[in-house]
Amino acid sequence: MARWGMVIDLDKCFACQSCTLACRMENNTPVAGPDQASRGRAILWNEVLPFVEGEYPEVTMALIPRPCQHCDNPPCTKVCPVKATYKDEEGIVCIDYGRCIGCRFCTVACPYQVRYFNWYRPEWPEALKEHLNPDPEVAPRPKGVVEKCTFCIQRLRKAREGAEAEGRPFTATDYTPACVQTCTGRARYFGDLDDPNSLVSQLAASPRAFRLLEEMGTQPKVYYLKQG
Amino acid sequence: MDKISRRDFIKIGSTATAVGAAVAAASGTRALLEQGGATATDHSGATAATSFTETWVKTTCALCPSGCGLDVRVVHGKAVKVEGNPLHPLNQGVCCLKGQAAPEVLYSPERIQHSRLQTGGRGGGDWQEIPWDEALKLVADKLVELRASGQAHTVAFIHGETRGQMRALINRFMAAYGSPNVISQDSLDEQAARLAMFLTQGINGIPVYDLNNASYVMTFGGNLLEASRHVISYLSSLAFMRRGRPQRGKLVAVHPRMSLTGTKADEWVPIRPGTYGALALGMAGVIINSGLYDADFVRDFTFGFDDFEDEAGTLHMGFKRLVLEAYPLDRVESITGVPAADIARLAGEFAINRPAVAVMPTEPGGLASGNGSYTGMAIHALNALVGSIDVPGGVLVQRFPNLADWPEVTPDTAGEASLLQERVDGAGSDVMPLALSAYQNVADRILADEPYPVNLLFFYNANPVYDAPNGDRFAQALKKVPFVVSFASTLDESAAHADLILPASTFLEVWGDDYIEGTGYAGVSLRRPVVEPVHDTRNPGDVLLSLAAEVGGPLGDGLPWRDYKELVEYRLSGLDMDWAKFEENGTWSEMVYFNAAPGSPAWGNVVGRDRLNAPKDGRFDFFSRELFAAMATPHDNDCLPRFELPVTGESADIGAYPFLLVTQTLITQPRSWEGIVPSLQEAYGLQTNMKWSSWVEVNPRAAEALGVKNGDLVWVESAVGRLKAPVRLYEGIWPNAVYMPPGQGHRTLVKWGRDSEVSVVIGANANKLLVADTEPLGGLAALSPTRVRIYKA
Amino acid sequence: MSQPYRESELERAVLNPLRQTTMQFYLVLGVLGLVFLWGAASLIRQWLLGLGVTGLGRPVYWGIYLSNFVFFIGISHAGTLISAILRVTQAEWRRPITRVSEAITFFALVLGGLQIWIDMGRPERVLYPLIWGRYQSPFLWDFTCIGIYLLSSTLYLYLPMIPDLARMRDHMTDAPRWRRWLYQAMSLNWHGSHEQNRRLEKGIGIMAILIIPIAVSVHTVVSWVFGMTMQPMWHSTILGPYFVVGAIFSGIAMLFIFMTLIRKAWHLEKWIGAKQYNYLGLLLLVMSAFWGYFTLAEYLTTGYGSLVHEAHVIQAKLAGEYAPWFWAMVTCNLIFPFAILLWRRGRTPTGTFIAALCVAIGMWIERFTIVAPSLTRPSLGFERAIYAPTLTEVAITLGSVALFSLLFLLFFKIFPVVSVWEVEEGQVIEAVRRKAEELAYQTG
Ligand SMILES: Nc1nc2c(c(=O)[nH]1)N[C@H]1C(S)=C(S)[C@@H](COP(=O)(O)OP(=O)(O)OC[C@H]3O[C@@H](n4cnc5c(=O)[nH]c(N)nc54)[C@H](O)[C@@H]3O)O[C@H]1N2
Ligand SMILES: Nc1nc2c(c(=O)[nH]1)N[C@H]1C(S)=C(S)[C@@H](COP(=O)(O)OP(=O)(O)OC[C@H]3O[C@@H](n4cnc5c(=O)[nH]c(N)nc54)[C@H](O)[C@@H]3O)O[C@H]1N2
Ligand code: SF4
Ligand code: SF4
Ligand code: SF4
Ligand code: SF4
Ligand code: SF4
Ligand SMILES: [Mo]
Repeated sequence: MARWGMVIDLDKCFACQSCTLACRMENNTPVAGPDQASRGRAILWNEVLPFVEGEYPEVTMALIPRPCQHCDNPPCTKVCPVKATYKDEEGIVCIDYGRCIGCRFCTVACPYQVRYFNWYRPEWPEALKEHLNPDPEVAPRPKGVVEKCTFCIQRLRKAREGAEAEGRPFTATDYTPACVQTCTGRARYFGDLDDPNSLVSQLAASPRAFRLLEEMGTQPKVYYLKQG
Repeated sequence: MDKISRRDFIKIGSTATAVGAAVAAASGTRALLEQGGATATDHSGATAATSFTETWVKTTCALCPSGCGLDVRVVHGKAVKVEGNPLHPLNQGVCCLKGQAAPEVLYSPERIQHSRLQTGGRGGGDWQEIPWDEALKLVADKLVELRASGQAHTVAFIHGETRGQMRALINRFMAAYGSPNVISQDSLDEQAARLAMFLTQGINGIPVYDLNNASYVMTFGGNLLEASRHVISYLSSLAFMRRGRPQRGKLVAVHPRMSLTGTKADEWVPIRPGTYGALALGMAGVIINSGLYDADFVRDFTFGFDDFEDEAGTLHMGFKRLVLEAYPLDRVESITGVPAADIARLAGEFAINRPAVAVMPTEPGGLASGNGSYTGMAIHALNALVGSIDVPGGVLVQRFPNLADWPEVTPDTAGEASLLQERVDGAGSDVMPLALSAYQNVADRILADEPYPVNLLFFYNANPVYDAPNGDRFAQALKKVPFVVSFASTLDESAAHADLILPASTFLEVWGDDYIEGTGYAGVSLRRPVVEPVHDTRNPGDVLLSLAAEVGGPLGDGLPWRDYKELVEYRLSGLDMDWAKFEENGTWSEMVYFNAAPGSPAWGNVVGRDRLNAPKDGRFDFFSRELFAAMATPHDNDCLPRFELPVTGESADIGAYPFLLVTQTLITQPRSWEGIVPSLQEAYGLQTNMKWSSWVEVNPRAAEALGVKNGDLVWVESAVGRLKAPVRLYEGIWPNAVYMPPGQGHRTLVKWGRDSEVSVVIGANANKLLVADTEPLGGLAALSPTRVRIYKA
Repeated sequence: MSQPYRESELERAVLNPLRQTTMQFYLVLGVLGLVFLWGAASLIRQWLLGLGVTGLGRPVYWGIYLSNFVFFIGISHAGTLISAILRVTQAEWRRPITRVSEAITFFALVLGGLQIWIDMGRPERVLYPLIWGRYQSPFLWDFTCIGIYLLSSTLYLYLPMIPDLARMRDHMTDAPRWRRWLYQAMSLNWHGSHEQNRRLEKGIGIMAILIIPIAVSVHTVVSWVFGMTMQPMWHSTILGPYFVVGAIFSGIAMLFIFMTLIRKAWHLEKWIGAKQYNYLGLLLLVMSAFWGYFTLAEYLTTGYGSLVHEAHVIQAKLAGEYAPWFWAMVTCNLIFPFAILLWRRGRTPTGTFIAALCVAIGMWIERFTIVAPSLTRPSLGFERAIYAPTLTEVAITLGSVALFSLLFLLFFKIFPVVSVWEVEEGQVIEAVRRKAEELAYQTG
């Protein structure tokens, strides 16, 4: 069984936000619109977060793309009263929209701010519904539940089905999340962290590697490589 | 509804949630939405094998000038996801955020769905849909009538970005018809960079930078990672420069505002707006003084480095003397605000870490300071100093494929006469001998009937009421033109003032081609419909061909194709390639770039190739012989890269307008599409976390002096207008500059999301503040830096 | 046979309002009802549209519903404290106010639980925790503890009421049929036999002891909903005891408020008097001191340590946008109570009433400043948000307070507000004690 993980090289990432948009188009996150966005209710599973440091002219800014960290020790799943969010056998932290009661304990517990709540029923201007991804896993979520990055779990299923259809064994390289596929700087890597020969596990062992809020003991499966 | 096989059905019948999922899959997510989004999907149950009719179609993006290859996922005839085409040499499988959002352009609720005629007053908004035949007839009749009365030249065609054969088609259409008035937006745009390249290197084209192999990249305003004409290839190249090869290169960004490029660069050098030229010249001085320049290259392959005597025996000043005398470090420091020590260090780094390349911007923000061509020349001179002309890691010259020749057109006498008339924008006249277009002048000239009244105006991919400085004057000018035809896809500000809109299909619905640029080597990319047209719209290429057929005469003869696809196929038939394979791959290219050895026969293709009045001697002009020839009474100073204070920047009213307005294209801003792209709006201002709005960035220290806080609403006022916007404190901006994002301020009639209004202006149009002027010689727009003041609203 | 029953003075005072209804009653009922309806309508709208009608967003996912939850659960400690702790410690002066305090406990718990339901994104899934509940989640600890607490405090409200119910069954013969039936059913055939008395005393005794740890656990667990996350300033070991102290503190305050109102409305000045105000006032003062001590401990350690994430929150509270709230809280919870209650002169019904009002408000603010500021400053530290509740949230909050008062009012329109038999028992004990003292004096 694989243990899926991601590596993002901040030296190659130019904060273009293509991952952000690829994620939206792949996973049908709704358009919040001006009013809701100004209330902090835009849903972008993979945001690029800015952190400014210093003062002019010695100013620097870290720009960090942040999908769900798919923590190995996820504080979000622990607090869920109904096990609507859970870590599956392959380490992907999932949400069962049919079970979530919308208590938002998990959103509060996740230190990475990656969980988004459907404050209203998601809506699109009529014409824009045409482009929604018809994969069943990404059917628009109902109002009142929490959602977040799933490592594009529908692509995992499709990759498995594809390999099966071709009558060959499924391998880790069959499976590429949308944000990884489109990354303009080719800064994102995805694969099996349990496979010592995989690129991700090798990069994760690099001296440049670090994880967000590592001190919290959440053991994220998303690694970052330092810029410079 | 699609059928689900029995086996599938049994499979999905196993869990209740999976049934929900299958319903969603089968009837499309749409139905689900209509049910109120209440159906839940459980991942664990989502093993449903779904029988989609799914295809992938390769085409070419048109949302910025890069022109990436796309691979579009089409399910049930709907375009649902865009990926990069892995076979395209430019983007190699990746795709930027605008490309990702392309389906929102295709299915935009703002699109104009049928051709329509404005029945009330111009700009009044009373539209009547009319059939295409009728609309085309209307235009054709007008064209025939004007031509018959000897007024062919009073038809003008204003266009913005054109892709592939489109520019040639427009030019050919107008030439065969008999009008000199094809006015491109280039004077606002890449023309400055093009001119700088022409006046020094003798190449009519915008420079391509080989960042894959460069050791040191210094961008003077060019927003490489965010805008720039080849943004996608520069993104990949810079990643490669850092981590793809043994030696890590350095990226230095000189910008008044820390853009994404500045943020992600190894070093950000803040500079006073409008003064790149001075910095480049100061650096040149250091490099020359310290003897770090490439002496061999300079001696053998450049012109005008040292003082020289012409045939008449007159002594002329060379580049060396100019920079050493006029641009000592302390002066450059006081002009640019960059500390002398930093200038010296940067110059040293630039000269030592070869191959090094100095990048000029293509946007007016950087070069439209009324000193655009000279600024471009000064920046480009640095490349010659370190021998970075056509070497790996240096400046390349973009090659284009040899396509099938256009058929000969034999103009009739009427056409020939009208073709020779003066242009409406004045380009090519004595004042602007080097200008090809002067977009920004059109409004004033039309209003003054100069040189003659315009009777029919076409708009294609241009929206001057919005994007030209003084757009309101443009709106007035349009009122004066008896008939205005627009190819707009959405009801943009200019289309609102048209009589007739012939709505253009989006790039995802049409056949076409695109030159591959930014690689150096030649290539073409295919554009084809990925879905059936969503609305009753047409490809403007098809429309022009229909009009040509209907008008007949030389126009009909010159454009004998039934539709644009045929035209493209004909042109590309000149290539040694298989069309079926081309459709399959979506792209064809030469794949390799051969650098020319200095002095070799190939060298003539990279230095001097396009010179008109200067010798094609393979020498890079520090002293522009082309300028010398173009001017009536040239001074040496006028032929050398030099620095002038920006015309608009340093006027007397510094006290009244203490800040310089900087605009800078954001990566989230799409091109050739004025409609709202909601997902891009939701990601709009990354550094300031601003969505769906405009803002004005102020340095915190300046804000303190002004007494404004983050989020305060302020007026930003220039001599020509004022706008309201919230303040964002931003450490990454020159203290005497303020920044506003261009590209916002369009009215939308669509309700975007809950509790939002219908018919609102999203953000504010920063162009309304620009004080415009025209640069002599090249006819470039001079619009920045505009001086503004700020006060609480 | 037996001579006609003669009501005691106390009985008359307590039972009169159950017999006749004044204009004021209808007026109060009307006003509360309107506020309640406003809240209910807002809630229905929220259910139909979604939680978007609140001022919540990212990263402030919890707002005043959660503050209300903590607040209501907090004041539920009134009953435990007065009835259980004082009973166990045999403080005699507690007797006239036990019923009120137990009722506060019961209704506060109901309202507290309701807040969680109000806060749920999918209210129709309210029973899912019963079906799929998992004990790893502190919410389940809450559901469990609050459930048990609710059960036991129902029992604890009910048991001591039985003798009074029997008395009403026997003597309120003029009451409407349904009420007579109610009294009949609820009094469980009570006839005051020795055996029955013994069992009741035993039952109450056990409950009194049991309920104390349950109450403490409830509030500790409520704090753990916050404390188990790693949010700055929540993830602290002091949170449990801090919440318990705060709960008792606000519980007493609430008791004061209701006790004083009832004393006035029911004219119970004779039974609820200086003694209660003095003792309880002192208790409130002591709790205020405790609360201040905990607050100091909490803020000083985090402030002094100034871990990055926590420093932002501290800053927001002490000097940032939450400073007005923070300092209002300190004023209400520390300065006013001390200024009023430190002196005997201040511990009058009016004085304590004012002090209690301050504390009630202050403790609500305390709950709010625990919930909101931490969320505006997430550890990742990129986003600054300000949370401002919307009219919907205000309406639902006021509606909840109205519902609480309404339930309280209606309850005491049916059941006696003072535990008559307990007070009488106290009088007997008092008499016996006095007699004994007299005897001792005479013999000594
Ligand atoms: N995402 C996206 N990409 C695009 C486009 C788009 O709309 N969106 N447009 C395309 C087009 S048409 C073009 S022309 C290119 C442009 O590509 P670039 O030339 O790279 O464009 P800009 O980002 O405008 O960069 C102009 C630079 O000038 C600086 N600047 C602004 N005002 C002043 C000033 O007054 N003085 C000085 N000295 N500097 C100033 C800005 O800080 C900025 O660094 O981008 C192309 N790429
Ligand atoms: N302040 C400031 N102003 C600037 C700049 C800046 O940096 N700062 N940059 C300048 C530069 S370099 C440029 S290039 C301009 C760009 O400015 P614009 O020309 O406004 O930008 P475009 O997005 O190209 O929009 C052109 C028009 O094409 C229409 N259109 C869109 N898609 C299609 C289509 O498929 N077919 C047809 N027929 N029409 C279509 C749109 O409705 C729109 O009216 O802005 C200039 N203005
Ligand atoms: S990042 Fe947050 S949501 Fe994702 S697994 Fe970790 S705690 Fe859970
Ligand atoms: S919001 Fe949903 S997923 Fe999150 S803790 Fe509550 S029930 Fe679980
Ligand atoms: S892995 Fe998939 S779901 Fe997660 S951020 Fe990337 S695109 Fe979005
Ligand atoms: S797509 Fe890649 S380069 Fe762009 S922001 Fe995301 S991670 Fe960074
Ligand atoms: S917008 Fe430009 S960079 Fe992005 S995919 Fe399209 S052509 Fe490429
Ligand atoms: Mo441009």
